[in-house]
Amino acid sequence: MRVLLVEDDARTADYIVKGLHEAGFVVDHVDDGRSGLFQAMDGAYDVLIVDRMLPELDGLALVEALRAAKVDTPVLFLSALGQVDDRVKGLKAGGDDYLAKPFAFSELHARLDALARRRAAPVVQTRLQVGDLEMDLVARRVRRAGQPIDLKPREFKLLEYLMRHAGQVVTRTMLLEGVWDYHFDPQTNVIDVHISRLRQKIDKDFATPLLHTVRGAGYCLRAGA
Amino acid sequence: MPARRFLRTSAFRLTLAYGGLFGLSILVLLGFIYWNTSQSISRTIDETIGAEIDALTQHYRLEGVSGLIAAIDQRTDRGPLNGGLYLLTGADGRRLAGNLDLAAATAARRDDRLTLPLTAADGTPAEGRARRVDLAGGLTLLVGRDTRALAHFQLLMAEAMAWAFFGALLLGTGGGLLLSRRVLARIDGITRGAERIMRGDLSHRMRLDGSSDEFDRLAATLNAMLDEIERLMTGIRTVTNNIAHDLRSPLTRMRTQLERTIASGDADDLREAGLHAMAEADSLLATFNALLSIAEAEAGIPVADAKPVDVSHLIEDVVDLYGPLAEDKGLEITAACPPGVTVHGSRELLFQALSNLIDNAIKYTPAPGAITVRADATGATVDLSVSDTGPGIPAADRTRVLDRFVRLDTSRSTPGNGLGLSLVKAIARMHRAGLRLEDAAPGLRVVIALPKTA
Repeated sequence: MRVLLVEDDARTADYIVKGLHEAGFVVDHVDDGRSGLFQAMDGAYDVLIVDRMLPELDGLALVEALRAAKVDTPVLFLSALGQVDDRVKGLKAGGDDYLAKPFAFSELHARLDALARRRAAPVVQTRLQVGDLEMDLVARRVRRAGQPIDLKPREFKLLEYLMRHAGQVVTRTMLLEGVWDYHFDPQTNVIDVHISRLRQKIDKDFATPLLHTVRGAGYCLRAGA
Repeated sequence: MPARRFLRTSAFRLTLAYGGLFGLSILVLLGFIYWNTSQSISRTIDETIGAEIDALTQHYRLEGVSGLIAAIDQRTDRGPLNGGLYLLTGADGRRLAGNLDLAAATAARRDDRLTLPLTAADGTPAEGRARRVDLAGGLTLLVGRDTRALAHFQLLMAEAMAWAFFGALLLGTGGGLLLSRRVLARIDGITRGAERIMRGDLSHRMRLDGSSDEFDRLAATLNAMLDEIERLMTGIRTVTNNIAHDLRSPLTRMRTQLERTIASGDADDLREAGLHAMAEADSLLATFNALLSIAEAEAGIPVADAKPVDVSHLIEDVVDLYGPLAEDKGLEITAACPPGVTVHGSRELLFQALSNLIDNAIKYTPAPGAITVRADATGATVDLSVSDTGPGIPAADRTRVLDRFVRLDTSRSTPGNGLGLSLVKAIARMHRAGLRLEDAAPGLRVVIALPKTA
């Protein structure tokens, strides 16, 4: 997957480029807004990572220009400004996601995957499937190995999010945003309890576990081990 | 005070300005009096001269030249006390009567008023004003009055006025200087007090002299400001101490574990230690983020981008999120909110505030227990409250507990950074809401009282 990183701070850029390389991404890096805009316009990237504070052209203006030129590559904003209204500003400018510094690399990775995946699947789906777990989005029903599983509405939403991001690491922050629509870092293990309830329902009585815990990062729903 | 510095003070300048103005006014006044008086006297003299001319002309008409000469002689015989000056010359230019010499006749022009120095017939100089009249028969009559006395009087008056003027100026300026010294002394006192405080004596306060004048009010205001500064500084010191203390523990734990692991060198252990260190670092970051949020909120910034928030949805969401956790701890959590209640603010921040409160409730309430999240819009405010059946907070601690990093002794052993309630307080502040801690008998009830949307 091709990623363009527009970040002027050398240290942060190094950290990200190295990490993404190791994770198997192809990364291009520029350190000012104008070059960033240029490259993004013709680069055919899968995802753009844009810092808000840039020389020449700031991040928000860059993305606005991009969107005005009908380039719809998903954009992840990085910023030292992490307040709610900064998020909103970023999203209004045309960004797709927003990550405050300092961030955990696993968080960045997880979100990049989610963004790239979003782009690749614009088709409206009626069914989701992971291994022998099936979800009918229209009838709002879940089955595993043919057996119906009874889920409460919130549990359904949670499972739906995990299934849509199947194979990817999903962080607690992402879950809080995607399922409950609130943006902050939950302190207690309030999310974990929801996950363990879900596990009771979809994993406990079955042979292979689908819902895995990734230490230090989050969770992942996948058929393999 | 050294002279040069004194000259630059506004007190001195004011005195100078006032003195100047005062002096000018006196000058104008005295000048006016002088001028008026002079005019009046001049007029009188002219009138007298006019009257004399009329009288003498009458004599001439009735009694002829001899009658006129007699009349003039009568007047001049009375002596210099009369003050009158006369000269009668015939058509041939010969002097006929009077006490002026011939030179005057030539000096005067017809019907003129002149104030040339004249000489009396006996040679003594005179000075006066005269009018010339031509009579029938070629005679010329000159009538005047000696103005030396007047001139002398005017001089005396001018002198007196000059003395008066300078005297007034001196007294005015002197008095002004004296008064301004008192003012300068007060200001100086305040300046010295401030310097003392800046040198480090923070408990020093300005002196009031009980007169309730502007300086006293200034001193009182400065004292109040100093009290506030002292309070804030103490607050900062306390917080900094708390921060240093409370953030040291996780860092120490992290370091100890890493040290131990490096020593052992075991690869698995290293990974474990790394993960633990990351967790501790995360919790430290969370603490710092919370501190930043609180600082921002306390800076008095109201909620940016405030929107209508549906309170019942908010409460449902938060109860939904915390439901499983509460259940696991053997607690029952319920939502009680009538539909359609809205407030103006930030959905995110209010959710976070409620989260913190519920977090606390879950942490401190023993099983079996109950937590209720309620919205009450019956009063003047929309009251969002979280109540529990835990041990509650003693009334004495209820204010302290809202400060940063405060953890009551009973909870020192449970995990937490002591910022939860501070953040709630900050969020309440941003929404211009009140925050109350009450006894739920049993348990604690925390109420965020939001203003109702109009």
